[in-house]
Amino acid sequence: MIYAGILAGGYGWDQRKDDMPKQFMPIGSKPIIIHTVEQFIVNPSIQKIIIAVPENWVVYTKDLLRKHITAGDKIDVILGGHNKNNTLHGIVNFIEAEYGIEEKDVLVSHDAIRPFVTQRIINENIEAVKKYDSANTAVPTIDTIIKAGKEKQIVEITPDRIFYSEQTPQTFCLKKLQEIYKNEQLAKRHVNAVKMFMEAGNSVRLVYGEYANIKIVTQYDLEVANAILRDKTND
Amino acid sequence: MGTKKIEVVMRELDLEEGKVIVRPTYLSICAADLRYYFGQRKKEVLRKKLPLALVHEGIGKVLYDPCDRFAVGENVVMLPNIPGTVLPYVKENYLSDSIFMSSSTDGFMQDMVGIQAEQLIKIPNGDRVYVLSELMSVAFNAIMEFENTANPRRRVAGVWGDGNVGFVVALALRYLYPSLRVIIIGKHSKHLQYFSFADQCYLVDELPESIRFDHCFECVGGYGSAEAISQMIEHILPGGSIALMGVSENEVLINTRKILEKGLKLYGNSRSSREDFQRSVDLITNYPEVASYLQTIISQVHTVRGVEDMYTAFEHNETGDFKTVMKWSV
Repeated sequence: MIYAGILAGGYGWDQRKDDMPKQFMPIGSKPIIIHTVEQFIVNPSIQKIIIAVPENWVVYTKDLLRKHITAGDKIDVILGGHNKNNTLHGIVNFIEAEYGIEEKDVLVSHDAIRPFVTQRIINENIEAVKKYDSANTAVPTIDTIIKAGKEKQIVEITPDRIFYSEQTPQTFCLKKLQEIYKNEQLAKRHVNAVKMFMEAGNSVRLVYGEYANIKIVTQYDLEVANAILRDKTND
Repeated sequence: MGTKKIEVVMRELDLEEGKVIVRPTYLSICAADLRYYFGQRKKEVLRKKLPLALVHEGIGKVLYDPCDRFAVGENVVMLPNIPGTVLPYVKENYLSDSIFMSSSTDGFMQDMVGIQAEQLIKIPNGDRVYVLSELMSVAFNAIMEFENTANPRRRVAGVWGDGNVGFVVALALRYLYPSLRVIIIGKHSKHLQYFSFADQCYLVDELPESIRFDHCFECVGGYGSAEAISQMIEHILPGGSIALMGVSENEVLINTRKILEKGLKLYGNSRSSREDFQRSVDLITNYPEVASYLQTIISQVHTVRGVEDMYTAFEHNETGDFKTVMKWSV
């Protein structure tokens, strides 16, 4: 089975914890999280979608899904954790308990606040994991990366085209991920699941992302997202 | 408390008259508190009522009960209404000799609150969501009256107002009448996002011409009241009922001709009785989804240790989408 895990456990860093989490804010005509889930609903390889949301927003999310998406039986909504890796761990536990984990199972994990993920990115993630243990989506940085010291002095100007900005999906061989989570010390130490996966001695393949696959975190991002959508609909 | 001025006043502790002593844990700020704080009531009202300890939405833990009706540490909701005369045909919250804490006498912004045992309702735990029991009880008060007043058609209800009261009225309607279509009419698209349980939400100026309601609930208040009520009268079916719930400082013009033409019933609702409180506590306790929805409208929680924190909570109230709650730690 190929699962999608939608990570919607956070609140967005520029937001008060008590306000409406960004993934529920509308862009275009529907909430961000719905745009995101739709990309996975329409992908024929994905058989199940598990969405992990913050405490108190589970019933709310179920309402949204009922209103916007008809293929509801493909989706489970669960409670997220206190960070991304922890939330992913919760998704793995849920799959284990609910469906069982087999050798060939794949988990495509994706940020709920990246609604502009494309079918190509999802497919290449799944393809990559068939050959390697894991895949991580990224795009080359456009700006040159500068390394600075403690006194704000520039230490190094790095060569172009070797640094990438990380995006999602991050995709894993589910069985291997499940094994790694058994090592609690290792799981606790990491917020980034791919980093944890590498430290456990697994290889990770880079999948080329898209510059439009932005993460909507700030008010500015929200405006950019609306602009991107407007452009899409005007075409 | 005076206008934009909070002072600390020391009082003797009164252990007479069998009062229970409660230490508040969570207090929630209501629009009525803000009107006092920002001095938006009429001058003579302010002069007469202030200084006053504000806030009438609160939960706490029992510190002391001379008659052992409550265990020490027991979690309770505090009811602000001190009933006067008992009449079988008028609810206690409407009688002129009833006393309302935070309006006719000091409210809950106290280090310890001395309160009658009849003004306390036990809750299963100290979860902050119970601080919204008072708000929810106001919805119950209106819906119980709706049950008595409105014709038995229960197909489509319109709730005008996307604020706190609109939210709890719509939520209570959803759970009490599962087959009723609940439609929200509001002014703020950001607020309307929260009403995920409603059948439909419309911005005031986008309400379709053809839409009709069996009954309406006005949860707007203030300057928006007139506009909201006239829209209701326009869209309601003959024989329908309109529950008025929004407070307005000024008199509101309404189209009586249309009311006569359609044979409408308009009825007033404010505050709530002990029965309404009990119902809302039960709803929150028995339906975890209701508790979950209510948690989403606690927009800000301020830990309050002293006067400075109280200013912060009151001054910053406007920046949250819905309720501001004080975690009372004075």
